[in-house]
Amino acid sequence: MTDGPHSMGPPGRPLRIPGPNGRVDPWQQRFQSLQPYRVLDILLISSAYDAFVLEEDGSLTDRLYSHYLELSLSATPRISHASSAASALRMLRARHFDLVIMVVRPGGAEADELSRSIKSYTPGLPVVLLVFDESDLEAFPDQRVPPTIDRVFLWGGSTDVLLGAIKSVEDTRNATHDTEVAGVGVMIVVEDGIRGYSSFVSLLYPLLFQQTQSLIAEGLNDHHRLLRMRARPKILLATTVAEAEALYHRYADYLTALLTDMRMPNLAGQQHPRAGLELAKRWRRERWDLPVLFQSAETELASEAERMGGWFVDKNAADFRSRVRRFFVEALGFGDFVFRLPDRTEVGRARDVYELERLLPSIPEASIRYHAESNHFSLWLTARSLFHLARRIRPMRLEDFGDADSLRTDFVRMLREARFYEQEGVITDLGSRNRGTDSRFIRLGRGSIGGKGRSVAFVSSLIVRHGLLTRHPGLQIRIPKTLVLGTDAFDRFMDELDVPALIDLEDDAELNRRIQEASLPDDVLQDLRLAFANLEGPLAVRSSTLLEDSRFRPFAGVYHTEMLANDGHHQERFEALCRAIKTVYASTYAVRAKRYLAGTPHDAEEQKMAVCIQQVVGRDYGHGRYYPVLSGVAQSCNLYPVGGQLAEDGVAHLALGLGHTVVSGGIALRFSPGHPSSLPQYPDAVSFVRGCQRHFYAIAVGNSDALGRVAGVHRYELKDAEEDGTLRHVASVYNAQDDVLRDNVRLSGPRVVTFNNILKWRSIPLAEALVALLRLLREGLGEEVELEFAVDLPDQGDEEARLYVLQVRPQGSLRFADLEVHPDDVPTDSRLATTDLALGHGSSPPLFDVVHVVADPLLPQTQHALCAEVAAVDRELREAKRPYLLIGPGRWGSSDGTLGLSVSWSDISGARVIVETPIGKRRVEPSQGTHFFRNITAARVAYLTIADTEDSWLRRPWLEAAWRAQGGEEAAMVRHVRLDEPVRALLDGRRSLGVITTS
Amino acid sequence: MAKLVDTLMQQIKDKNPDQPAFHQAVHEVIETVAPVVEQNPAYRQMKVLERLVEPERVLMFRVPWVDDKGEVHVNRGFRVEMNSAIGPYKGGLRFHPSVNLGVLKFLAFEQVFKNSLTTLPLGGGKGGSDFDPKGKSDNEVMRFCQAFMSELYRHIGPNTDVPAGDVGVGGREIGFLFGQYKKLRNEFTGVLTGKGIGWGGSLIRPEATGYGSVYFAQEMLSTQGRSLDGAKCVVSGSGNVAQYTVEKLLQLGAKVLTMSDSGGAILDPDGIDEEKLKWIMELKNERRGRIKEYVEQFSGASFHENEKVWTLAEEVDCAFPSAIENELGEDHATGLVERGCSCVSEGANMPTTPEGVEVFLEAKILYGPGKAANAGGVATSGLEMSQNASHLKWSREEVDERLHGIMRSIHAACVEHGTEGDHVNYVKGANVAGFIKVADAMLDQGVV
Repeated sequence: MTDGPHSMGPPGRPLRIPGPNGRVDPWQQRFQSLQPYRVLDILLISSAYDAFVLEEDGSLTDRLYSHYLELSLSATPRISHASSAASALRMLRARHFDLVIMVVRPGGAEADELSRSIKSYTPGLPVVLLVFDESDLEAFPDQRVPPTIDRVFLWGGSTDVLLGAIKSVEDTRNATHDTEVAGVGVMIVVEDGIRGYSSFVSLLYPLLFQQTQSLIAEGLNDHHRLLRMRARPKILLATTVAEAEALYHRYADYLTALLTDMRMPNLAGQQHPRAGLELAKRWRRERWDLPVLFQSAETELASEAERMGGWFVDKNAADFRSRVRRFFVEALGFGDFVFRLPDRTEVGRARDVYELERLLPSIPEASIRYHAESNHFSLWLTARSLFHLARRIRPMRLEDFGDADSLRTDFVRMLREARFYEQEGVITDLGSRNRGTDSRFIRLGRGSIGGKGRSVAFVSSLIVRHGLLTRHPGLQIRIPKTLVLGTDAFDRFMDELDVPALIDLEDDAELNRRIQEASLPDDVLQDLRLAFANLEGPLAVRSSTLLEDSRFRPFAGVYHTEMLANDGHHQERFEALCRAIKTVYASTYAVRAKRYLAGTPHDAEEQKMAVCIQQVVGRDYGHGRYYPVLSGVAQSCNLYPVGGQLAEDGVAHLALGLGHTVVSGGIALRFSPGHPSSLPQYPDAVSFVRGCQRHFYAIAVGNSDALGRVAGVHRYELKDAEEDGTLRHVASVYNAQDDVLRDNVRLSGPRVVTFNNILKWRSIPLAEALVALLRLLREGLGEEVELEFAVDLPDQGDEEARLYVLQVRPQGSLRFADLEVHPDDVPTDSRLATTDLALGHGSSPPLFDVVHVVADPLLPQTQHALCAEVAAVDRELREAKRPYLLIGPGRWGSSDGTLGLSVSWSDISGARVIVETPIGKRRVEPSQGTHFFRNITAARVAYLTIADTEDSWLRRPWLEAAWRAQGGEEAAMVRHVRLDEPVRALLDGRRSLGVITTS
Repeated sequence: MAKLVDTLMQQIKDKNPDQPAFHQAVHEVIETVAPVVEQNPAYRQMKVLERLVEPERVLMFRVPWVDDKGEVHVNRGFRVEMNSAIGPYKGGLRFHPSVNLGVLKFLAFEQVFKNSLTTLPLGGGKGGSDFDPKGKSDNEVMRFCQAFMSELYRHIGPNTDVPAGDVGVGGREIGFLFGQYKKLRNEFTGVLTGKGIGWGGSLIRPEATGYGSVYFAQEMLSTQGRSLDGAKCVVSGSGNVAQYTVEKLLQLGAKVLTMSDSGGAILDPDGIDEEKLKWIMELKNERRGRIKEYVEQFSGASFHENEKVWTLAEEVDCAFPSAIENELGEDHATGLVERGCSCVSEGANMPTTPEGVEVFLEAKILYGPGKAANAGGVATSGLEMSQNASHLKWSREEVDERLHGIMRSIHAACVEHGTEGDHVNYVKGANVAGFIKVADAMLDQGVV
């Protein structure tokens, strides 16, 4: 199976977690908007001396910077200094600031007045007062801190206070937004003494950051980690019980902990020795599991605190800090999850969510019960920013489940779903702990991932953004497991070699030999080994070049693709992979590549190679054949829309087995995803029998000789697919007796690959999925696209079918898409023919020969001779390498002799442009080349149908004049007109407009 | 006589000005039967020819239907009931944008004689619509067929008019048409032929043409006291007709030396036996491979790229052109005659060029034209009707036996009307036999 041994795919539907706004945004988007208010510019108002004190150990900014750095916080704030009220106000008027910190020595009146001025000028600007001693507060009128000062902190001598002050202001500002947007948790700290809370806050923040940091090593990549950091719990400070209650009222749903002093003014305003305890008890009534820390000097209340399940920490104890840290780790779930039995015996330990998921099934029921009853799981998940998961689990009480086992099962399921949901669409950096296994797209090393890698990553992000995994019930859209080795590895590998000498080599074999001799850098090998451990099954190793990022799309086929069977022993498989990577590297300087680049503004030295290693979609069906049930290529613009098809619905080709069939031009089923049940090229059963796929390609696996070496892609018969059980999805059976196709391979008769079960009977919603994908990709890339895909169908059971997108690139057949073709701009006088019923796109080469068949009515007797004559002229022109314009009456290739010339493709294959004119007065529906559809579309021949109307006509007199001018006979029915000045066809495939110009 | 032909042709052209195909068809038939008419004043007096060229009835009707997108389309339906002197009208339905009255009249006219030649009680007719099934979804085709039959059902019936399939009307369409008929009339009868084997169709349909051409050859040979047992036979093609031709030949003890496809021909001096035929059938029907693969499978055989079978074997007794139109030219014919070929039975339609036919006729060998020799296909329609009428389903052997009987009758009719001295001109015999049966019946039944 494509996903690897540890995962069976998300069971059922993945977890769709609605945000508080009801919408299901990807979590990354939500987390991105967290902490909207950030302190970046601080105005510090202090006397020069105080500034000096603050800067005793060095510049404040530097110290703050190193502090921030240690804690891996983002942008350090800048501090600007004002030494007087006047200059402060001046600076405020000149620039924007996020925070004002005032240090004002006795002279509280100054502080009062200054803060008032600041607030009146910028009401929303927070003002923090920093004091060196509590007694400084006595300088204030009434010994009260004026309301224009938001908070007062006591400078304890370390930058921690500053950090604490800054973060406290930020948290207060951001709490509402963050809780609403992402359900971020909130810790309420209640402490009325300035010294108390200043030191507490300066202890708490670094602790919180450190703890949070250790958890986010679990993030998938740097960006992910940063986002997790933003979702850390917010600390809100209350200095009175009333303030605390107000905070509780607002943030009860998000409250993760209460840290409180014991003795405080109670609600009535009187100092109460147990105010904290009472507060906690009140809150505990609603939140029975709320972790509570009491910090107090009054140790006699310790036992009571502990009896109610809280923690008691002695303010004056020497181990105060470490006890608080332990509270974080144990009570708040910042550390490992320790599975314990009720008697506190440890029975297991999970470092992170992944390990938790893995351990759960083996933990004794008693332990599960114990933790569930105290809501430890929920707590622990909150610490890791998995808020919604935590909140889902919290209300789940053991009673709801009846037994611990069901709770356990459900819990494991939820964890797994959440994990997958997180990983979809994310480029995981290897080295993320425990995530490499299940991620779909992994980048190894630095550097670019190249054009191919990028396109796959883009598709992956689209899948998440638009919910494509579940959008089409019955068919999941995904990318195969992809590992990209960045261009950095290529650079370092090549650094050890003499690249100019390699480029000069014109001998591919020698080039390859030299490159195979060299080795990949050690760390690359190490990383590769790690990632490779989980890549099972056949692999496709492809070049993903830097220059593909630019619009040089025809790189297809220039660089190398290796297919690895990837079986055998680990070491052999790994070596085969390394060889394959080096072969891809070698192809950068191969002769073909250099020649190709010669035609572009780039040269070989500029080219850098990333390597894209993808699991080949499919299964081993047990007979040594590995392949997907079907593969295909879809294009967003159908340049040959016939019948009721529309250009913008696109076109797709399907084949049983590997995509080699389609890509190499073999017989595949062509259809328009917008009209899957209409197949104009197969009007009846017999034509299907004659024109359908007869062989398919698969990778030969399980061959002990081949052991991990380059995989053989072999061709197989339909009966092999039948043996594998895959044929039934795509084939029908032809009943000659009844001249019908029956879509059931259990019947006897010739097997015909029709894809009826899929396209007609919608066994899987393939057509709709393709329509949606093509539209999204076209919008995303901003131009017409081509995508390669493969579909894996399960044998039976509840598994869903999967559509894997393998590659996306701009649509190649729109060769001239850069020059928009405007046939309607050609002046009417210069037109030999014009029509709104044209198939094809672009402009033809100049044509000096016109073969014009004039035979009306078309009689059966003359058919034979006419066809022979046309074939003769065609042969002559082909041998002379002169492509020509073919014009004739009726439906070319029709088997009905009265409707058109019954030529076969080989009789007219030299024509570059074919024109079909009406027969007599009969209004016969045009064939639109359907008799030769495959040939026309493969050879990109333009096909114009003339209807003899205002918008669709042919200038016959011009042709007649040219014929007569070269001495041609009136009676001649097949006229080969040679022109001095060539004609050309110009077609706009999107609007079906075509013009043949004479100038 | 020329005068007779010209006058009649002029009348037809005047009356049917815009139907060149019809003129063409009539002209061909009249030319061949003119001598017979000359010799029978009754035909002239009773204006048999004039009556023959005028259809007994022509129905033209509107067929509106709605496509998958909800858009309404209007097509035209036709049924030309040409002649029912010897049996209910019989002929196919054609759905093709080229269909118009002229085309159908010409086809219906030819059908009268084709059916008559089978010696079965089948009249002639043809019908269809200018609807193009190509590119339409199954549901759209179904709705069209139902709309079409909703009008046609009034005019057809197992004893009145029995349509069948033709271009654009295959097993699927017959199914939809029959379903609607049955719904509207509330009867399960043999009103259409070409039905599925599970609901009234007849066995042997795919084999009929191939078997038929062999039976015809057998009959021709028996006139000279010879048989196919041990005869060296060359067969062209490897499709349906050819495969079953070979099958029946093997059953009758003949030795088959060749088969071919568009890439070339194979010659197996040891003869293609049952096992090899089975392999070829699998190759062609299941794997859709090329005949040249035969030589990789069976040693002793040779593959001749881009060549025809006629020049490969040293000695030939019988030839069975079963591939395609115009595959046997003058030179081939001469060559075959030189190498001893004395019997040719055409499984395909007009496989021998006019020059080639001349060669055979001059050499006075047993030459069975396609018109007669490949009538087996047409005959099975009749057999299907018979089974439906008697509410029976015959076994393969039963159908095969009856087919054999029919070919015998056809042969006898050709002999009756084609004998020229000690030799039978089957071409003339086929043309005349078909005509006379109808003409005489028309005389018998009064001026109607």
